[in-house]
Amino acid sequence: MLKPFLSALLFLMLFLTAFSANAENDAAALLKKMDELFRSKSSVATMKMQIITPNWQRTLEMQSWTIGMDDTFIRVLSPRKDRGVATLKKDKEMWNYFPKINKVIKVPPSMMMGSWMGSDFTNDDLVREVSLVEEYEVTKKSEGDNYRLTLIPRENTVTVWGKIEFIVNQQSLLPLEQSYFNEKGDKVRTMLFSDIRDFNGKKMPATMTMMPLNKTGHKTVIEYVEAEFDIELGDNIFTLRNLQKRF
Amino acid sequence: MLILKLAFRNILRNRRRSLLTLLSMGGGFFLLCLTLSMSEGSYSNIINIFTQDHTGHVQIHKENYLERPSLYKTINHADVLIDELEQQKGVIGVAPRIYGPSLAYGKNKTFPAQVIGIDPLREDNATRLEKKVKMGHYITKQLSRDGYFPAMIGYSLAKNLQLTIGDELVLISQGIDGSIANDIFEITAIVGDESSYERMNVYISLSAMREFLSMQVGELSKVHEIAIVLANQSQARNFALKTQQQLDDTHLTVQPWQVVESSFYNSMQADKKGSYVSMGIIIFIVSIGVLNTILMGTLERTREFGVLKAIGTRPFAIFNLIMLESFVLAIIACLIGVALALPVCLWLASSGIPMPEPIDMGGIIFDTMLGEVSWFVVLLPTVVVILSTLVVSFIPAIRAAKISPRKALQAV
Amino acid sequence: MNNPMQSSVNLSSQQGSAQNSLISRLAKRSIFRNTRRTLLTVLLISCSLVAILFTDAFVRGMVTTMVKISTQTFLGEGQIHPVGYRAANDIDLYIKDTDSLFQQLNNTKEIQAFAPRILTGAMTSSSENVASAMVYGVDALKEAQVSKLKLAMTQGEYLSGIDGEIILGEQLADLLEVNLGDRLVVTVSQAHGGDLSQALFRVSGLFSFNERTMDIGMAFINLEQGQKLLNIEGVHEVALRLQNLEQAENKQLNFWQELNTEQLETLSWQELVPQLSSMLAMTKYSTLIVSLIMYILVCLGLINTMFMSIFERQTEFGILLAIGTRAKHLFYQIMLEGLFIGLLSVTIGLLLAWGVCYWGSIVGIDYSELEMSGLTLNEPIYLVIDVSTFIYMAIATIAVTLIACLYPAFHAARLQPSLAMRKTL
Repeated sequence: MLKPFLSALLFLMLFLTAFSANAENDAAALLKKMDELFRSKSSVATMKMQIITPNWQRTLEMQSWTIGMDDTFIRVLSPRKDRGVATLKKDKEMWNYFPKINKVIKVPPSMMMGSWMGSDFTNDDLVREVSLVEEYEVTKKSEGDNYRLTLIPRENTVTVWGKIEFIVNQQSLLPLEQSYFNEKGDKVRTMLFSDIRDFNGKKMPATMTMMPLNKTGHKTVIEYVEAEFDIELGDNIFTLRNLQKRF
Repeated sequence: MLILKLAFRNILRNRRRSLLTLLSMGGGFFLLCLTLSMSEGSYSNIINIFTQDHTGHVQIHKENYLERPSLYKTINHADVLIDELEQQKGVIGVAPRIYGPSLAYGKNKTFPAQVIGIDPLREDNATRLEKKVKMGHYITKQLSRDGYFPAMIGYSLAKNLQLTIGDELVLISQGIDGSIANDIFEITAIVGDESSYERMNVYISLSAMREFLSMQVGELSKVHEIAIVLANQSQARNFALKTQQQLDDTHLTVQPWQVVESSFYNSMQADKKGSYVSMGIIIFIVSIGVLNTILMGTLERTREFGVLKAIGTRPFAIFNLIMLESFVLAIIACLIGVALALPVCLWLASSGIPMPEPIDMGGIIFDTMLGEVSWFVVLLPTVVVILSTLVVSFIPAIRAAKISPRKALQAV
Repeated sequence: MNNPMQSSVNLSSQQGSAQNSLISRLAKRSIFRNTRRTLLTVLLISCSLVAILFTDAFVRGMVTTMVKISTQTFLGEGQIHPVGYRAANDIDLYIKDTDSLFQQLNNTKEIQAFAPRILTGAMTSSSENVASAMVYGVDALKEAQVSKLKLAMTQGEYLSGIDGEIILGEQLADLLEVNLGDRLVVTVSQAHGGDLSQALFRVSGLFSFNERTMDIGMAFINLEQGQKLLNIEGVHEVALRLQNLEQAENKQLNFWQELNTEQLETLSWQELVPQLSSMLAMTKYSTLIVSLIMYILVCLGLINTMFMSIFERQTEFGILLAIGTRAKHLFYQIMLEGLFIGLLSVTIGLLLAWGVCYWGSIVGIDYSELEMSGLTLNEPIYLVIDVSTFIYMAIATIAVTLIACLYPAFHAARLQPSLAMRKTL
């Protein structure tokens, strides 16, 4: 009499644990997709960045090359005043190049401009482009058409955020929104993803809008114009010489 | 008035006694006056030197720029404002400034530096910047030979970056339009020394600064700060108040140096309080001197008062007589004191006492102690001498008034 | 067989000494006869002496307190750096062999305590804002023995050696919009290469030195974590607390020589912050002038008093002369009176001054409502008694008293008795 019941129970338990493990795996796998969304193993892209502040507005056009999480090379194409300004991040070091004065400057930490090129993205964001999956513990929840991924930093993770949340569409598995919270639970900044397009076979949102919630009137919008992924990139791209190269 | 005549006659009758009394009162007055002059003078001197270093006596900013500086908190029609201020009486100099915290890059190192855009002529009029140029020459508005804007660099910054006259200085900051401000400047002067205010600053002209920060045509009159130097630092508060009222609807804040440099002001006040103690002691000594002479003089005249009472003088009249004598002596002492002290104070205020070793405070050399001539310096000793005279005369006068003629005439 | 000449000489010398003792007895008696007059004179002289000595002790105390406040707040009475560090503030320059240095410091008796520190410019970021600051890595226990960092804590806990602790100035915490327990990421550029390195901290405490530059620009972490962060094995600076302040000025002491080598540069606070010692020099100089003025004032009062007291006794002197006192003896008598008064006043003055200054040195004068840069003057100003000043002033006062008596005594000796005895009203 007991036997079927027990086996049913066992089956249920196994099923449940499998399910939750799966769910966790699911969440981690989903997060990994987020990590790799704009990078893959390598990428070349052209994008526009529009920066809006209460005091001024600017639109930059840039080209970027990346390998994994470690190497990043960004060059500004327009406006003319900033054409040729470039940033190289290799592993843990970062340099900026200014063509007007023809100088390569290693970025020191005490730079008063916390933001990169005046945008709402910080040098920090660029330096520590970390793998979210490695640094955060993630759980997934269904909410209507979307999943909500909640990321809590692990013990040893170096970050100012108490929590990061993704809202991901269940159908496309593409993010709609990424929010950053401080430890008190206040949402400090939020990034909206929109305008899903196909870039050489990869579907991803072309437009990211970053809005800090503690500063009114500030907004940064990045729009991908072109992107190619997982192509062979030469080593010579991520060099100091390349920073100063005429193009 | 009979009493007045009697008082004068008594004073003149015993020359020696009167002279001695005058000596102690007048001497006290003279010395008190001198001390006050020196102490006020040295404070004013320090304050003047400090405020003319770079602060000025009054500063104008947008709103709370001082507490939370921001590139965007600018005074927008500065040209008009500067012209108006320069025309006002009592204003010696008006210096506009633009501040841009930047990274300075030289040879291999980067260091944060405060870059300040100044109007070279106006700045020279208002502060001592030009006198602090240790090497090289003060900047002008022109470009240097190589087509770069000239810059003056602080001593410590130059040392840290290992740069000197003629070298290139790279500055990176954020432009007012959000772009990255970056430019090369040529160092034409080194300013100050390792302990002066300027040591981590870079000075360039206003036009160079505006170009560096990408200020557009419509923004050519924006500055962050206007520093005003007046004829005397004591006018700072009044001037600031008056100007603030005139600028009431413009979101501009006008502050006197006491607010701008509040920690300096507080330490000056603390120091002053300390000197009040020594001032108090001097006043104490003067009072005792006056007490002694008057007391002794009155006591020795016991017989005289006995006789006066015997011939019918009312006690009250004797009281008045003694008080009047003291009062007249005090006034004469003050007059003589002023006559003697004033020339000395004037000399102190103009030449001063040279110090055995000049003292270097942040690049400013103090080598003389100056005195000051003002109403305070003359009035306070007057009040002290007269008041203490009256106070110490009181009791002897009362005693004299109450003397019984018999006892008085028995005394020797 | 007595020689008549000898005996007359004996007699006159006996008479001489008898006269001397008579004069001194007369002098003493006349002082106490008119007690009021004597009292007034003594009062003036002793009070003035007390005033001068008090001022001297006060100023000495003020100077000491001011120096203490500056050096004990954070600077230290001396600092050791690697040679060349102060010129360039280069984090690559650090003292490598700290073990032997610390042992040397421990064995130096003049050094009461020392605090090793590393310093670096850094970027501190919170979820709300980013600010640049000087980050100091300190040894919590040792630091508390040298500086007032622990006492300046206003919220939270002081450092205790655990990784992840950071204490900030209150104004910096304001700027970063963080409270106790909030996350803070510190980014630095490592030594030897400049790689960027970061670490996560949680705000464990806030401090306030009441000085804007310190409260908005400084943060403190534990020394070991700082060394790891910067990738150095050593320290940039060692702050010293000496047994007493005078040792900072005495450059002849051995330990100053021993600690200045090819690698190390050890300086006293006067050399580290020359502006402070200039300000003190100025205070000392102006005090000198004020003391001079006070002294002249006192002399004036003294002369005045002596003159007055002697001139008022003209009648008395006239009588003395009339009954046959030698002019010379009258002169001596007046001088002796002056000497006795001087001695009496000085003794009373010294005792009173000692009492007041001693009380002042224990209790101190409280200036606590005043805030100066550095900490609030929460230490009262303790008077400092300098025995040599006491001695000098005492001798000087007696000297002036005697000199002041000269003219009146001279004048009295030359009185014509008949004129002097004319009693005028």
